[in-house]
Amino acid sequence: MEQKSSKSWRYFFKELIYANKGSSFGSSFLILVLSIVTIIKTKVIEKLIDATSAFLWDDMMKQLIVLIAIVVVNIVINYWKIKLSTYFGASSSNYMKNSICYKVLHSRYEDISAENRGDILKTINNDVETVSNFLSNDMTTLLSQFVLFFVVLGYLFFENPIIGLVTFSYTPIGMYITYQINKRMGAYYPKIAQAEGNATGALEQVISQIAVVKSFKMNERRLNKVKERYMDVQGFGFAISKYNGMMQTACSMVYAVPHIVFYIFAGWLVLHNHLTLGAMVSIDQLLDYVLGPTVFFPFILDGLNYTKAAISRIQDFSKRLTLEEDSQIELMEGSEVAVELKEVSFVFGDKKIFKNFSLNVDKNSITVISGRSGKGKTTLFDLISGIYQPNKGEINVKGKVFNMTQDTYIFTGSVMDNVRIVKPDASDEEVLDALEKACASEFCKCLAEGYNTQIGDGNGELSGGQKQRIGLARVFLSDAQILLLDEPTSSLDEETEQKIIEQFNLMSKHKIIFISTHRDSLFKLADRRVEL
Amino acid sequence: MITRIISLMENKKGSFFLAVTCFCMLEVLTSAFLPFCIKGITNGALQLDSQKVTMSVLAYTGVFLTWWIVSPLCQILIDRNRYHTMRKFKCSMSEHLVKLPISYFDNTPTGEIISKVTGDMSCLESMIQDNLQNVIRKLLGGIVGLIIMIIMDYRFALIVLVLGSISIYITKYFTERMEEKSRNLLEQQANTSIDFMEMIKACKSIRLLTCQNQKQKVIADAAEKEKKIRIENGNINAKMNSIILAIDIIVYLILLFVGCLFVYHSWANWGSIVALISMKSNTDMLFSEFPVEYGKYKNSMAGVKRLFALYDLKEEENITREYLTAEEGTRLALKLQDVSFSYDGSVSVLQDFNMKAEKNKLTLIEGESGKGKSTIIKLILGLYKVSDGQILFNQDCSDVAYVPQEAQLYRDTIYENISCGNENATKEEVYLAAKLAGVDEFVKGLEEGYDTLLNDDGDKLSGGQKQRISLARALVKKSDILLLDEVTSALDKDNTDKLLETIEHLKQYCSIIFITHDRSIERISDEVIML
Repeated sequence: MEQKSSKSWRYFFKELIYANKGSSFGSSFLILVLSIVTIIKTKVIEKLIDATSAFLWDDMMKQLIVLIAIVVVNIVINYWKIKLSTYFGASSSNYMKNSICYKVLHSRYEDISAENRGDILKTINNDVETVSNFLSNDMTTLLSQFVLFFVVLGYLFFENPIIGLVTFSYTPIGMYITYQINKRMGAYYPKIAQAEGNATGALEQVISQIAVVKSFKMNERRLNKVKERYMDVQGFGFAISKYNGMMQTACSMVYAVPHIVFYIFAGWLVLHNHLTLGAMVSIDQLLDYVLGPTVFFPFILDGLNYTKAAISRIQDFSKRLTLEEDSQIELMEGSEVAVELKEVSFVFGDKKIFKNFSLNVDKNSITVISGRSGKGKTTLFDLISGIYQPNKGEINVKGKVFNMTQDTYIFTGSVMDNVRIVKPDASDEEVLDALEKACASEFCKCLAEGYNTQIGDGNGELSGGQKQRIGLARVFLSDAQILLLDEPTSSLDEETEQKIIEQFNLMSKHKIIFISTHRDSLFKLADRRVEL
Repeated sequence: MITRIISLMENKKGSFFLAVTCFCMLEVLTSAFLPFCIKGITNGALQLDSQKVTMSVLAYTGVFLTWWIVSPLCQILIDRNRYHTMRKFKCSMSEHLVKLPISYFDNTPTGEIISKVTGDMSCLESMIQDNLQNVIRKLLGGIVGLIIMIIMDYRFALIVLVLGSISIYITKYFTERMEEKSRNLLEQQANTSIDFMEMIKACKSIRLLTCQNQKQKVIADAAEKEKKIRIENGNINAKMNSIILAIDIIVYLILLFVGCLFVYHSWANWGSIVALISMKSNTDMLFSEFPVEYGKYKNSMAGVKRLFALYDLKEEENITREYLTAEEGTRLALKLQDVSFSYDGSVSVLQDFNMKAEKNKLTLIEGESGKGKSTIIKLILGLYKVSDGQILFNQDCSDVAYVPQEAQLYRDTIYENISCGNENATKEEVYLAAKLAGVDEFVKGLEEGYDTLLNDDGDKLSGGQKQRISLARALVKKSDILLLDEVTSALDKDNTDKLLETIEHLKQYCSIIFITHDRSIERISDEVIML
């Protein structure tokens, strides 16, 4: 447990603070200056009151001018402190989101596909927010508290070490008690965060499959999972509340006990003429100054605990993802295009999908991969396109590959955007041509805004066949020399399928095409057939 | 709005306000009583009166003892209220979400919904935990402080009131702008969520299309916008704070000099002036701290409003079913009569469509993709309401089960994914359905069998395997009507044959409507309808 938390703090300091050196160090420096300025301000106000109460106008004017100068400095420093710490929080949030995005995009597929979507989104929304809010607000308060405490302590020990020692004798005990309570309390925050993440994950799945949930009327059953997690959150929260209550008293004691001890001790000293009244009042004010904000400690510690839990979650999420080197086989001019699998073995989960499997295609042709469902047709394509790496053997692919998946993912954007994504510098004519070849032109023209209609998540539903045809348009637009087509016509009717088959035949003259299917109509196309 | 938030607390309302009031009272007690104790200590020390000093120290300790005993209780009450209220609301929100019409889900990206349930929800949580409490405490504490000040010296209090009102007015200007920025930030965060969601959902496609850099840029732009709004908000906050600081010191100085003037003209003595100035820290709660807390309250309110807007969306209407006549009920399971439908009101998907499905027969619906086949199923299921025409069910057998085109499984065990089709299903029934659907065959080969945990959307299995589980889920419902949407598209020949066999067998128990473009199914169908 200890190792985990120390690792998360290392992440915290290293990445976030150094990534935003200017604002983090800047705001910390200003906090230091501000603490000193505030102490000077108190002193000057003291002198001003003394001068005013004695009607010493000249003295008063002097102190007033000094005070105004200090106040102006105070305001300016405070202004910049807030600006810098806000900037720090904002930059950190930016940095964290970009870094999470990078990890999601560049991690191994098997790692990211196993993640709980709703959980990740909760991390991005809540945990990142918690950390950046802490950096903007609470951290500065915490820092300034620490600084103030040590500055005043130093001053006090310098002026009157005995009083200092006696007054703050309780402080280590108080700090220890606070720390212990916080430790016990702190154990619950990661649990709360995890339960919330799981609840969000379950809810996301309900929303993603809402049609099925409604039609089977499984609302209650599916929501039970969500509600159970929310109940867990409440349970942990109630446990935390016990400690939070104790914390109120503990923090209050950190404030009050030194005061009480001071009044007893200093009072005795004054009564026995070992200390002047003025000095007692002055030290009392300083005490108040330093210990006053301890009243906020419960809130700050609460924020700190949430932040620690949030950082742990962000960190754990990162740890679960292994980054892969982007394996994109470069287009080598003039060299042969070929796909070669040598003695490839691959285990998926706990099933051996391939064992010493070999395949070699180096001529423009159509190779049909057939086999029973689950035998590995899709997995073969995943291996060739680099989504997975084989456990044994090697895969040599020379040339650019494009893999058309069984289910086409429609991105949020226009129809044109969705096709163009495979070749970003394609012209409009090329895109429209590809759509035409894929027999998608007709339905696109009938859409509300034609080819510029927004499709994808949240923009209405396309039918299975329509989605597949957009996927096929991507195939026709792609300039890859090797095409992997996974059940490319499964949602199309016979007439449309025929037209597509014609296109495949045309393409086979200058591309290496693999088609995985179990349909007779496509078997006929095969120059070569591989049964898995 | 506030009353609505408070009503969320239901029966814990009372204890919440009791706790907050106690906190207020305690704070007022300490801030009003403590100066007297301290005065007693200083005067006692001055007059070398050890008894006075002792009494004052005891009083001081007494005040704190009260705080040490009462505040934990109050804090526990407040905390429990927050966790309890949030749980109830989150549960109601989930229930409400599921009841929203499916058109809402068609037109709203999932990422946006999740953003509301997480991001905006935390605004509500902050509201209940901190904002309400702090606003009330500062307000009450400040007002009580002001009242005490009025009692002590109304002239002084008047000055403080006037200056304080100016302070509130100025702060209001800033907090309004901050609320607007908060709203912008929440909107932008929802957009960022949408982008992230797509990145995660499309992780495979993105890798295959190698458009990672493009997608990274999308997020970079979104995150940059968030950063900008935050910084703008911070600037406003910095300005507001500076002005509050400035006003604070100006007020202090004015009070000091007015006090000095009073003493000079013998209208008051220094002792009371010092006491009055120390009361300023109380009235500060009203004039300096309350506006800041109110600003934070407004920031949270921006999120709460969005959340409530979602909560207030109309739930789907229950579509009352219409039934066939007795005569027709002997032959038919289902009839669509002159049905017209359009998703968005402009493009008509179905026009005067007619169809009859006979009892215990297999009815095939064929047609080009996109012509509305899936739509018919969705209308039968009652997910959408027909624009025109009627769907007539059979009085005696109107239960419907659905096998969608895309399997739509979820993150749970295979067993759960099947048994969720029927909450009353026994284990045997689940296994039987699995066998009929051909699930048994591949589950046997999995290490954890039916307890195998699937990933989001059921990923981990092949398309054909997912489709078979989806079929088993429908079969376990043992409904009167079975709707199959392109179920053989991902199945190989063997499994297709097996399925057709199963369908033949099922005909005795239910009526089947099969949507497909696979002409080979025609041979086992009793009726073919072309779109």
